[in-house]
Amino acid sequence: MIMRRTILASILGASLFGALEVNAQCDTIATLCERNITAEYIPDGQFYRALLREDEVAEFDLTLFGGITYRVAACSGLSGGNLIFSVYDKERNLLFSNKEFNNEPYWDFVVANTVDVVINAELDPAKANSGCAVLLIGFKK
Amino acid sequence: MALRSSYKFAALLALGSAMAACGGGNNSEPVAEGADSLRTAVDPDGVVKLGNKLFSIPSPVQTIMLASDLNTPYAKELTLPTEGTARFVTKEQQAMALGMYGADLAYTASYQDAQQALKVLKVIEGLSGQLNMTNALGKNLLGGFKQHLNNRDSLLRYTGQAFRAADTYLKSDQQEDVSTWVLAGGWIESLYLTLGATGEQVDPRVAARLAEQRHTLDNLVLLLEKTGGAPQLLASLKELTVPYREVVSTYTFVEPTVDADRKTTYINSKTSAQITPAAAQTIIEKVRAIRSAIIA
Repeated sequence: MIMRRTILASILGASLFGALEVNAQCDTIATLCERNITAEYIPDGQFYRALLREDEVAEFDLTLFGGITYRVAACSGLSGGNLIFSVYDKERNLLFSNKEFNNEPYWDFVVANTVDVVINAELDPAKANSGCAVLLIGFKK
Repeated sequence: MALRSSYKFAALLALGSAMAACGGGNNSEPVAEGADSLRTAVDPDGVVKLGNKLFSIPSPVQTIMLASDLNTPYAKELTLPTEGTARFVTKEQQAMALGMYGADLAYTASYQDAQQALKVLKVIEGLSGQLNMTNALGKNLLGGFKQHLNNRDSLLRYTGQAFRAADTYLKSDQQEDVSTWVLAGGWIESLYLTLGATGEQVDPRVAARLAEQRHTLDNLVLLLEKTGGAPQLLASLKELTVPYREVVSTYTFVEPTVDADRKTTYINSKTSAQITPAAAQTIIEKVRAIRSAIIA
């Protein structure tokens, strides 16, 4: 009975430890990533994260409103350039991919007319095979 | 035998958790993409997934900024009263109220009503305390606000930063449901403020702003379905999707322009969203009714 309780406690402890570690990892990445949303941009108030493994893709739905300039920062790991992010319109036309720009960790989008887009984020397999992906968005008029 | 299995399970779980934390995990199948493949799951590591889909709800600050283009006069009476907040008893009510007061804060700050903004801030401080988020939200917001009371842009920035800090805290604390309720409250209130005193005649620019929110509404419904709770709000928002189906949108792809030196892409595609006056009126009525139900 005591042994069973010890095992249960170990399981819970290990699970909790894992959750805390991953959350800590995401929080650290978010703190680093936030530096890309400079003072001229207003944070959108949300924290987007996904745990990615190997070739998993996080899909991120959002509306970009006309007349606003957005800054999208995409980070994974403790150094920049681990995350590939691509922006598609609703017809799956590619509007942008940071892959063409050395995996730049942030990019600005000047939006003329409101448009629904999907951002795909995936790890660069040459740099990481798993980790927490963080997306942050800021905007200005 | 059972004991040995338990040991194995414990060891595997510990190993899996450690690998996930260290970035070495490779134990899951690639996730199929597309809306049809949506699945809800909570990873053992606490990162909530919906077929790896993430949803954005425009921040109240953004919606208020867009509404300011309409040149509607400031109306303090549109904001929630700053007294009587004790009626928000449940966590769900408190979280939605927090989001709503966040929108009110953006509204009052946007129109530079510092006095009212401070009152709203006080309410937010109280609600964040009730939700055990004082450290995440209250202190950041209070400190920044008091130092920059006369600077509109700084106030809006501090609002955004504080709400992101709160969202980060809630998600890290595996309170995705509370995070979603805050977003939902903020969205409804910012739409309500955008409508202002709109009566039977709907300004076409207001109608256009309403129509543009269709995708956001779909995202919000999905988020609420994913995280659970707030059944009445979810039902009301699903009802709101009905008149939104009458929004007719056209989209024309135009090749974007890139300025690599400035790390900037200009999105040139053209979109228009149109809505009949009758559907716009139904949406307006429903938005006001949802807001009333939340604060009742």
